[in-house]
Amino acid sequence: MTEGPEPALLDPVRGRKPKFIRLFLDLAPKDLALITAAADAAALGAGAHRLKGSAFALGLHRLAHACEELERLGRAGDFDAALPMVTRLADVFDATSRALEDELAAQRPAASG
Amino acid sequence: MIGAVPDPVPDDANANLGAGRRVLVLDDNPLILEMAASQIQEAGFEVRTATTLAEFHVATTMWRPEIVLTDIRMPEMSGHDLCRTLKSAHSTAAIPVVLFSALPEDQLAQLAQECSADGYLRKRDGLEGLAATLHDLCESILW
Repeated sequence: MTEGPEPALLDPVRGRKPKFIRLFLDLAPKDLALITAAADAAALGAGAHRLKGSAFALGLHRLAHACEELERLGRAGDFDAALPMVTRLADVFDATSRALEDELAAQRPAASG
Repeated sequence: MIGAVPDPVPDDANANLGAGRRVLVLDDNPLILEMAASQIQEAGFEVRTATTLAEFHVATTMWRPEIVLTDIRMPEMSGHDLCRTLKSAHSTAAIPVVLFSALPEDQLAQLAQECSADGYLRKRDGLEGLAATLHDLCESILW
């Protein structure tokens, strides 16, 4: 169980380059699909680990911490306890993706001059 | 052994930090690879990337990297086992190896020590400071 305030969806300080946001929006759904389709705890943990790395790299704190919790349960072999976390992770993933799309849209006018 | 750390350096100050040093980055996550390679390349390092052990071994043999940056948890082999393998072979023992992971720092530092890595870099804080940190590691380890 995570204690304390919920981490920010996006790190407000970190500068995310548009090309990396687009790459995340392109690649990360495949990582989420691996997690939601996982048939055992090990696969769940491995998928969560992979998505966690991308999330930390881009400053997607809430997603990163949700992945970390899921990875911990997966590595502990606790598939039943991990399953409810998958639903939560998918919700955080959707919210994060929407926020990134908004950030990308906000960067577009400046980029196109 | 060297830890992670320094404050990010402004982009323009990074321009030739790498001085053309050859860095081989191994990670099974294409997003991380792309981000890391981009950051390092912009700082003047020469970069090759590998997502599999086969690609890594080809690059190590043919390209002779001056420093290796490797993820830890990968499907084919862990980064710390890879480090041990490199350090145990005469042909690769002299190549500095830096572990690169989203693990908490205490675990990362312990793993780096156990496998005789030359340093470690954290993914948890993002990759903005990667080039500056790598430069500092290079200065400490190599030159």
